[in-house]
Amino acid sequence: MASNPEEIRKHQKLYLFIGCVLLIFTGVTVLMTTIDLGTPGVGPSDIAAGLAIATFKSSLVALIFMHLNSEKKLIYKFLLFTMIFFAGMMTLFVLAKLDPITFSFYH
Amino acid sequence: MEIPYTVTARSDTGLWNAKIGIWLFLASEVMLFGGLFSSYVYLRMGADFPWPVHELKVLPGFLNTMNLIISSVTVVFAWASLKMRMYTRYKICMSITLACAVIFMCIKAYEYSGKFAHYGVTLNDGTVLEGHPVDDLISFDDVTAITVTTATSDLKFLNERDGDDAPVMVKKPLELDGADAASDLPAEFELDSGNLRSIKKAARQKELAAVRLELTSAPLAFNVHERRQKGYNDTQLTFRDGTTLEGKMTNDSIVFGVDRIDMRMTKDIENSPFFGLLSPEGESWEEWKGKFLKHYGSTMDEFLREHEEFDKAKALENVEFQRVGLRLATVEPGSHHYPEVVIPRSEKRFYSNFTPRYNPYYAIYFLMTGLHGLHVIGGALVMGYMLFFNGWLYKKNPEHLANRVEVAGLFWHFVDLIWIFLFPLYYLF
Amino acid sequence: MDANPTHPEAHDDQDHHGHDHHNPTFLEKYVFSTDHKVIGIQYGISGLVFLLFGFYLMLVMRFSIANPGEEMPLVLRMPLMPVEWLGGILQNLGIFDHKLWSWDRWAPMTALIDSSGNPITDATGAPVFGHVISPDLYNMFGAMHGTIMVFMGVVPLGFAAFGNFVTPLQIGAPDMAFPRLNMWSFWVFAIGGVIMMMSFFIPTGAAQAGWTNYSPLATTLQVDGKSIFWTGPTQWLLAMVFVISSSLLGAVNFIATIINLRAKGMTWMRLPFFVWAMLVTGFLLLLAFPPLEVAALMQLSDRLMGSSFFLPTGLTEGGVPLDISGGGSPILYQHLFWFLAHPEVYVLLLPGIAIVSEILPNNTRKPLWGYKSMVYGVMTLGFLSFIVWAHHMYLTGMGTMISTFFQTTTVLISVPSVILLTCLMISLWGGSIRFTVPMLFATAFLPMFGFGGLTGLPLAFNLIDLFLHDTYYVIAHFHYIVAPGTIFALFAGIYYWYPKATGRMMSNVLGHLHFWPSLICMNVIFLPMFVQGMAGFHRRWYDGGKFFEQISADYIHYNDYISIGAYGLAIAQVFFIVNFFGSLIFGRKATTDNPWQATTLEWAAPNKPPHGNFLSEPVVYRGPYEYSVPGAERDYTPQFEPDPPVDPASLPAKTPSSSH
Ligand code: HEM
Ligand SMILES: [Cu+2]
Repeated sequence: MASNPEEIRKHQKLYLFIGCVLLIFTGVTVLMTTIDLGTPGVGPSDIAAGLAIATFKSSLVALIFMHLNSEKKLIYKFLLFTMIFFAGMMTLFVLAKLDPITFSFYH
Repeated sequence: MEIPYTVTARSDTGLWNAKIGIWLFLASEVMLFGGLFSSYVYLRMGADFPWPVHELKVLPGFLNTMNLIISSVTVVFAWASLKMRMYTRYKICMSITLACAVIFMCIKAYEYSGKFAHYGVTLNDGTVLEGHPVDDLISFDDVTAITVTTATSDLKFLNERDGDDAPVMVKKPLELDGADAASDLPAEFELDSGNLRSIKKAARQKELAAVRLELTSAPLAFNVHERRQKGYNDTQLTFRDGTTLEGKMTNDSIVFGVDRIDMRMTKDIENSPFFGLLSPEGESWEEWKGKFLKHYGSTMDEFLREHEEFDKAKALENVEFQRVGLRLATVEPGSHHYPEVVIPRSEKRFYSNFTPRYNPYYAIYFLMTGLHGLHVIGGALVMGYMLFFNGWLYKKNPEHLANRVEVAGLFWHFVDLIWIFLFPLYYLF
Repeated sequence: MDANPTHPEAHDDQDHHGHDHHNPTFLEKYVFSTDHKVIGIQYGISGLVFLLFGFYLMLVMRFSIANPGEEMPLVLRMPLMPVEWLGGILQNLGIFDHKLWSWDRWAPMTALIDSSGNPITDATGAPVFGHVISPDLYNMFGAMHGTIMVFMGVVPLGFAAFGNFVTPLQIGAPDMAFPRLNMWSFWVFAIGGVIMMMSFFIPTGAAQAGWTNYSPLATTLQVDGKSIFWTGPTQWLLAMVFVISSSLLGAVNFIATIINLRAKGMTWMRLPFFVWAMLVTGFLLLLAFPPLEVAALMQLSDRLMGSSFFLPTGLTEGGVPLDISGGGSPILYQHLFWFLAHPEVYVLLLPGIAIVSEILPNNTRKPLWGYKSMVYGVMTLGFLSFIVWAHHMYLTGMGTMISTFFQTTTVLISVPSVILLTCLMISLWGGSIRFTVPMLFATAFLPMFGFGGLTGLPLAFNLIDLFLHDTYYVIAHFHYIVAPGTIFALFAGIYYWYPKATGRMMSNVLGHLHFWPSLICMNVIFLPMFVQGMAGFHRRWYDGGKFFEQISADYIHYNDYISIGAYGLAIAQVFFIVNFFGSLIFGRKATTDNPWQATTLEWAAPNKPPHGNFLSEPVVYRGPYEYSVPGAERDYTPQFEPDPPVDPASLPAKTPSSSH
């Protein structure tokens, strides 16, 4: 993360640019729901595309605004484990939901 | 005693304390919202009702997303200004951020209040009517006796009384004779909180669970909210607190202005009892029903032509058909004249406004956005504090203030980041 | 959020103190203190009080199990008498309803029956009445026993008290990274505790749906009545929200402290194992508690706002459909709950292991064996503990595939547990052991934890768990870990660090009188439970299985032995209580700052360390367990002692005496 005033001054443009990108992509997601992506209505591909854009936007926020593009190693470590546990929680919830006893019985 | 590394970074970790603290806190926040997102997925996958899609108006959500993004930019600029020691610019940026927070909450309040004012009735056959109640109170007249329980009764039930607020006079019950606490009660007395307390006390002395009071004033009439009662029949109504009225139930139907009919869960659409509900509008109602069924039928035919693999039952389960069917059922968009139906309570399975009670979709919607809103408020309070009360720190140690703003900013970006996911999940799909 | 940015006064105050040393008032010094040692002791004492209270609840339950339908003896009723007395006064003042405070509400005066169900009569043939524990009381005490022991007893004592008192000292820090936040964590916890205790006195009584508070039972219990807010389960949830928030704040503080406030020279691999265990525990709390907070908020919403997060469609109660929308899932609650609660069992365990691994090397006068493998072991344990939770849910109808996954991870997690235990056992090998009182407790911890851990293994397997789930076997399994395991370790810790906190030693004789009966009684209590469990005794039977006599007849008499063990255990604790308070006044004064001749940094600080801990800034020169270093002058070389200047002449000499 930049900490001397000179570097920060240079970064300001970047912040503005990222802000604009975020605004534009918000517009894109909204427009997207009015276009059909293969499946009619709200299908898996719409959700996937929407989430992809959201992930992209949030990574910009995290990387640029929250300075995660140049942070200390320790903080990456925390976040790595947190993301693993979050992903594990989500995945296992879903797997448990997809696999009720009758399901694995018949498959 | 000084705690080291409150302002300057420790050389081997490269971090000052609060920076570690905030990132740890954010990690736990990730798990908090992670739990909520996981629950969202779990509930949505397991929903045995049509999960509402495109239920919220996109525009307010869109504006709020823009709003938060702008505030994220300004908060970075506030921090950058401090780093460059431009205090006035810092103040301006911070103020814009705060203004964004306030706007965000106002838009939220607008959205919430819209939901609270909107109701849904689920009929026994699964048909859901959405709209606005015209009259949904249970009328209970000719009340001549009231039973109060010693454990829980209070006088709140009188708020549901219909008509004038003349005092309610009751006869002193014979069962209380001989109890000290009842000795100063006259043979006929007003039912107020002091007297109620004496009655309950006396009843407890005599180990009575409840006492029946006979009215000596004119019979009372009540209009009771459904939520306030625990059960009723033709001659009795019990409130949640255990107070029981004796009288006559005169009307318990819901008069409902319908703006949307959802028949996705209806077992047999053509013969839904919904169509048999009495309507004050007579002719036009029949006409409307005809239009509805015709329209519905032709959409179904068209859908089946397009998708040969479907039969009628399967089509009803199809998302696309459901959406069309649902939109179809919306009564003339833009018109302020809704058909009014009268629903006897025996026909209703569930009735609620669009609060967490309405279904798990609204439950998790309110929980997630509410919790997010609390984060917005919390962040705004902290930043407001820094803006208005931390001038002294800037004079003393501007770097320290910059650190604080950085920490608050990290939190604020996180709040924005969560919203970036909430917006599509609730507003777009 | 963290204290410094939100509470700038914190900084103010510190400056203030620094400049003109005004004497802190009593309130500042002992009540709203920001000193980690005072906060640690506050946590410790509240933890001990909660443990004692939870233990009392258990005694009442044990009585009901062994003697269902019989009159409670006076001793068991005594603790509640002052409360009733207070209730009487409040009633006379017209403030409260005496009924709420009266024992009779829950343990009503009921006609007594003998073991064959016939009424007991006196000489004149009239029935005899007595205070009999009602099933509701049993459920209430059971639920609150679990909750209080886990969330308000062991965690505050193990993690918060020892962690607070010892960690900053061991890493050579002047205080926690965020002292104010630390104070807030304690007071938020205290609010939670007060709410939890208050719930005994509201009209419905406290929560009754078990410490796990499963929906739908917990959601639909006690919902009628005037106010759903003032009911046991609602208050339980509210209290939990406070307790959870407190733990989260505490965890942030601990981790930040360990990372950033280590003294000069205190590198990661020089950290005492205690600190490592606290670090991992901190992460468990930090990342596992939030989902439980989510569950608590959802259940609160279900109760107060009528939502259906955890209520399925078509739920009926007594044949009557509930007025709810349905569409939710009770199993979601279990996922969220156990996502926390499995890591939580390691939060219960790790402080125990942490304490034992400090006391063992100190009393064997020998370095901890396999320090590094223990460090990596505990990290692996922490990691794996996040992905085993559904082994508590094998019977919920999860499919066999997902059950197999959780079975596998559960078996895996026993590997790091075994590594820890093995290292500790090997640490005993060849030591010159001093059986001080802390050492007695620490040594007993090892086999007891072993019992608990090994009996967990069968439970990990789907097939066996189908049979053992919800039986006394499970109760015995985890109690072996928590009661003679963790709680013994906590006792060991109290005996060990008592001189640092108070400047006095605890009595040795009373210590032995506390230890031996406790050890025996613990086993009398929990061993028979394995047998009962395998014989099919279900947990949460308020009559101990009398109703199911046809299947329980063979082992029901074990209930009597167990209850006798429980009363014995209660008596043994009297020695501890006397010792704990008596030693404050009569205890032998600790002659040095390092009475156990230990190596870690807390012993460099003066006894009863002042605010700021160390008299001069500590510097660390070596690893944490340098006992009996060949060639050293004494059999311990503290971390804070610089290397002596090398004197070549002394090098060949091996024995400490000759090097002089
Ligand atoms: C050595 C590894 C361990 C294994 C393989 C293991 C396995 C299990 C399993 C499978 C259950 C569920 C049994 C059932 O409900 O049917 C269980 C319950 C339990 N275990 Fe462990 N466990 C281990 C260590 C621990 C530790 C270290 C603790 C710490 C206190 C602990 C505390 C508990 C508790 C509290 C329960 C019961 C929760 C309840 O249902 O109320 N376990 N264990
Ligand atoms: Cu477990």
